[in-house]
Amino acid sequence: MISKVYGPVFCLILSVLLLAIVPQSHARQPSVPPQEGDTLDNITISEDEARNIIKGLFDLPRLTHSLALGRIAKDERLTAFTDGFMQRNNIQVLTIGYIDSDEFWPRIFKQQRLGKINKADADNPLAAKIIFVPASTEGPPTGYTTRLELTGKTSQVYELLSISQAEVDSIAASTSQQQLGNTTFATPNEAKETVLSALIAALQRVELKASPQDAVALVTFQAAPPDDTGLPTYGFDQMVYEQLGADYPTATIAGQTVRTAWKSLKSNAPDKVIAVAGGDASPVFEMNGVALTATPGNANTYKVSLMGASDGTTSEVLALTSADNGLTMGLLNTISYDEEHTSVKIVPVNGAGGGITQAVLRDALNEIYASVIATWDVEVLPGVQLGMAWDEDGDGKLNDGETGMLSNYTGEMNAMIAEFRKAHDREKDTYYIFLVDLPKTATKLGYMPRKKQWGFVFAGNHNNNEALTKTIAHELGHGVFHLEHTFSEKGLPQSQTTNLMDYTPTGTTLYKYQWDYVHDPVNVVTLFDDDEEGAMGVISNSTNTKALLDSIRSYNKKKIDKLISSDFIKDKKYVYTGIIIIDSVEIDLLIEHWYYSGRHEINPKQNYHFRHPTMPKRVIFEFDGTVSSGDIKPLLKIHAPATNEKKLEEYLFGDDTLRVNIVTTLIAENQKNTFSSFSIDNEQVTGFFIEREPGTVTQERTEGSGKRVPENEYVVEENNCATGRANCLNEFTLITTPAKSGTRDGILIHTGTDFSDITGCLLPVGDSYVVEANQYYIGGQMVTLDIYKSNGTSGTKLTAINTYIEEKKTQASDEKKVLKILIDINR
Amino acid sequence: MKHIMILIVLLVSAQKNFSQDYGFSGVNNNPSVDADFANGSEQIGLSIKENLSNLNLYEYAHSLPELYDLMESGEVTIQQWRTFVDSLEQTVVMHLEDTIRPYWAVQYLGLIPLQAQFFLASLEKSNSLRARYPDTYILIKENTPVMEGLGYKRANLDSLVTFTDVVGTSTFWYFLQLFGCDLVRELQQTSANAKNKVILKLQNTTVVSTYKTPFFLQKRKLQSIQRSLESGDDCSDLSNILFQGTGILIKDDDRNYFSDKKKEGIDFYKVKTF
Repeated sequence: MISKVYGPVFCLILSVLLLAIVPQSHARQPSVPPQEGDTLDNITISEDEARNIIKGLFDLPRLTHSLALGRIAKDERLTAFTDGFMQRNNIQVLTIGYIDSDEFWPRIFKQQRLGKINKADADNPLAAKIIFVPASTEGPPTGYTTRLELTGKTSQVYELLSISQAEVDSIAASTSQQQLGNTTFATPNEAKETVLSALIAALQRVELKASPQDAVALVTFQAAPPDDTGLPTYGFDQMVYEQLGADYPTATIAGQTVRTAWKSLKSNAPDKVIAVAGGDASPVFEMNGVALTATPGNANTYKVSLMGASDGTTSEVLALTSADNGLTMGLLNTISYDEEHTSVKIVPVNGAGGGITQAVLRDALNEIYASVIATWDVEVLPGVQLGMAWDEDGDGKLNDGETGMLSNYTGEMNAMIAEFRKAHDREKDTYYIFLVDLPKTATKLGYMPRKKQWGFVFAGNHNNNEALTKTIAHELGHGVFHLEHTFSEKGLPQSQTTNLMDYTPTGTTLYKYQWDYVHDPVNVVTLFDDDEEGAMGVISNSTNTKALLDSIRSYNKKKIDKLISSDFIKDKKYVYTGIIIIDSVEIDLLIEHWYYSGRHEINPKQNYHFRHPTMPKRVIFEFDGTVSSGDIKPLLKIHAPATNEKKLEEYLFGDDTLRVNIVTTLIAENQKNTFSSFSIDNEQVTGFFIEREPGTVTQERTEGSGKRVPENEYVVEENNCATGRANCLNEFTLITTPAKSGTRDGILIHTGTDFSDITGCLLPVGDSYVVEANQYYIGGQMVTLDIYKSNGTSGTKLTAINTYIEEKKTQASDEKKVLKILIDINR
Repeated sequence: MKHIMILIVLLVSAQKNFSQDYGFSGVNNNPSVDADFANGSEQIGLSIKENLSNLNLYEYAHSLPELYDLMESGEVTIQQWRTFVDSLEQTVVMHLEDTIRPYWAVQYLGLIPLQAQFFLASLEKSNSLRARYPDTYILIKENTPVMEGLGYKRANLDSLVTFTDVVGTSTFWYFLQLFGCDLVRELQQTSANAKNKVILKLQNTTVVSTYKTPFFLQKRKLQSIQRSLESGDDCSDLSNILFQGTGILIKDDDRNYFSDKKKEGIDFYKVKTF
């Protein structure tokens, strides 16, 4: 039985032990591996060697890195390519990865993986090795450089591929040099994408050299120009700036690693794109495995017809050498969006910008924003006379604020808005652009704070209506879609790009990341762009508070895992207060929001909240996230009154949770035990809990103290039986956390007879419990204490709890909800 | 991870043949050392007579007056004793060699050989009893195997001693009983916080005395630990913490104690944590 089930494991362990125990000088000598049933010779090792073995065994970073390399070599993209390589060339590619080092785990994995080449079933395999070279072998791993090797097991491999060994070696070396170079990667996982691309590129280059007649030409894509079909064509975005590289997926095509372009599509609407094939190739096109219609044009171009899918769907358009398992010649990413429609009113103040017309402006905005599937209703309000009452300093120019002002209106701006509102109703869902003659700053073209309803464009600083239109489009980008300047947000060169959000006079393009922002503007959570000024140093910002909470709610509704925060240059924590109204209940909140350098992501689904450690009437909803360094840190804390905890939780996380609430009420406590009643879901199940005696705040939060757990609300889960307790399947575990319960761990709801069966756990009992006066010897004295006893009711009560939970599990399953059990322990 | 766990178990098992010398000095069961060696004999004797397995060998090391008496009177025979200790040894051997099953790590059976050696050291140290019952002394000694090489290795103490809040999973007291202040010292070498954990245990443990392990037996054991801590250079403060903080809940007269526990799904191993 053992040999059947554990035989392979024992063989592996035996090999590992042999490698570990036999000193390295011996291990390198040729030897026959032990077989099952063999008698092994005694081996004597010194204490130092034994220490080294143990040290090596517990070198977890190198173990995990070695394991990760195994997974990289089995990556499904690589496997798909090598399967194709096999079909095309009848040569099996064996991909292996190892760390080239004599340390414990690297040595074991290296030998085991190199051994695969000798044991390969195929007669003529080509070994493709991903080799990681440690930057240092002292102390914990500090990083690796990488290289590739391609080696035919036999000379026949080269003959079958019609390529010399020297050429294959040269391809591996040059691809390593070009694509991997001397870059140091902290971990194999960090290098994964780069080495996979490089290895596929190297294999493709081998294949192309071997079969020049099948050499793959590259197919590139371009935006389709308007044609006579009358159908619109939406956005196209090819990477130009390295700073945006991460937004454009890489693909290895014809031996080259390329960044692929994006095409935006309107949901369920037709569109087209131009493909340009290199050489004389005649590619075919497909999307999601379905062939696409491609009309040949001039100069080896093809007009490829596309169809948008549902909102948010991404797909790939592939150009292939042939429909049947052809090689990839080109790749285009597509994303579909629902149309975003916005109304804007243009207010020419006192006759400024008089040349602009409604239809021209609407068409221009629609054309600029076509790439993001956004359309506009434009109304130019005729003859708006606001006088000069707004001109507080009497210079005839609108005070546009000091340089660097980002988020507030000046006094003159507010006065102009107020003047306008005297004669016009403000439409809640409409944006307003005031066309004003001149600003105080001579060079300023326009101003509209992000997420604000009112914008200002200075007509007198524009030479023509085209430039004026561009500025209006730019300011609406800020105000409506919360777009930032490309130079400040992404570090692109200022006034040198063709982007709408740069200062280039004619720039109207929008990049892929901006497409996404347009369709989810709450994604960009900004701070302090409200004009409500707070007092006492903590800023009140209800607008931002609502936007923040709504973005978490929105992502949870859409079941999206990551809430991407903006990049921030400096590590900083912001604290502000705000009010959110839920079901007519005003909830006062305090927000702590951390921003770290680089891009970072909050996990909005993390439903983790707890009582404030020093203010028990407050709760904290905490959201952690991954920052650019890879560390997980708290990024957001929302403080709320405990009375609003449930309401806020439902608001943020939705109602796909079926909750079971256990609430306890203290009845009695003495030197040795605590006795409370409990009610599950308003007395669906009732009973009592025996717990240990009270302790100090510190004791109740300290593992091993033997005291009862601190008052708090805990998530309860069914015991995972990790401790192997006999009755574990019927027990429940309280999810203790450092914030709630310090170092306490292993707190269960389990059966027992009295406090001596618990060191912090909760012991459920029924109505027939008894209280006994018991002798207790301590400190040389005999005392009498009231001890609560289950009197045989504990198991029955735990069964009743389990039965109720099982019913709820069934209900949750039927309603497709997640069951969450909570216990509110009150003292 | 499974492979690593099995590997570790294999390595631990592979070390079982290393020689072991725990250096236990044992406890002298003379009332001049602890007056309670003259107390509670009737209840302790009744427990032993009911079932030799009611006590472990560390507890027998603190029940030598009763054990000698029962042997002398023929109420416990040497064959019964031999069967008892053989079954203990057999349990250890069986589980030690069966590395697949988890009992060795979970039920701490490697403690039994250590307790056997502590018992033999106590047998040796209790001069007055040895002088009073020389033949019985020889019989017990000759029929109690040393279980050499079967117990836990001293170097592994830090990984074997567990402090948790889950009842029945903390092994701290069993090791403290055997090693006293040495245990605290060795734990401190691997964790600076070890002494604080020990203090928490000493401050907050409730020992239960039952008809199987009666009050005076538990008291003898506690006082034995107290003396051991007192004599250690770094542990004298712990002795008083133990005295003030660890109490005994007296359930000697509750004949339903174990059946009540069983009814609630608690097995013997989990109950006997001291």
